[in-house]
Amino acid sequence: MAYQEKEPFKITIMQFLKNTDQSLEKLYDLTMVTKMCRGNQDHILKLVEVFITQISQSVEQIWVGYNERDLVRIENVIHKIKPTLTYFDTDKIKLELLLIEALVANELWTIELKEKIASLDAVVKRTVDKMEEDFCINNNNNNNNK
Amino acid sequence: MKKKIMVVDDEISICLLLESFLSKDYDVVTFQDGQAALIWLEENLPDLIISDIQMPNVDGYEFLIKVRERGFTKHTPVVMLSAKSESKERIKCYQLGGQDYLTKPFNPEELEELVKKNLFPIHYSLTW
Repeated sequence: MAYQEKEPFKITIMQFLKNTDQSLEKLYDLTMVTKMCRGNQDHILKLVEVFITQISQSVEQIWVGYNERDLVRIENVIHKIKPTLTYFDTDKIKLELLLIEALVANELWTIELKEKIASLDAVVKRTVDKMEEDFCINNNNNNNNK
Repeated sequence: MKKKIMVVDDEISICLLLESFLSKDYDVVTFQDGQAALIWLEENLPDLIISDIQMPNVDGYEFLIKVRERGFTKHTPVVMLSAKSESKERIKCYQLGGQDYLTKPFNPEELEELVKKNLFPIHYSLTW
């Protein structure tokens, strides 16, 4: 079974703490990434930057798959990105992807699928915006691809 | 001298995570393409290979077959990584000569133990 458990870990940077405020929507959690980077903040920042690029490209590819009715492309994109989501603890993105995966698996090319992809797109944009804000990343190449 | 680990995964985030996690104790070299990894193996010999299965161009199984066909890497331990947890995938990995199979997302502590087990098999077995 895939690794799911969460372990307590002391977070050292104020930027990470901002996102754990219970009054805010929890879009991601870097506990596991911090652990795997052994607290190296340069590595953490690099991973966040890579994640932002990857997740944005994945959504773009899912839209392409939808527009071209390419089931395999959507399945492959979801299969590839899912493990990374666990490390970044992006539960909201993962939930949207699982719903899309279920619809695609049943070949349900319905309006519901389009709505779910739009919903995924929205939550990815919120997560990316939050990461960029927390890590002071300027990213001008967030694409709108519908 | 640190042991050398080769990581092959087309997901750059997985490469970076593995490199960050393992580089404290090992020299880590990463590739996002099986073909590039095979070219590197022509002149280098890692102590352990960690490879994804689903990759474009040369997939993990094809990579493993080629690693086993080559004299120098015939006995190099290989740990296969995959998001698929089905037993048929594990069986195929073992049949092709893979030592271990780890499902993504993996527990870093499990990865650490698998690496030790494959790099230091005698020491590892003596601790038991």
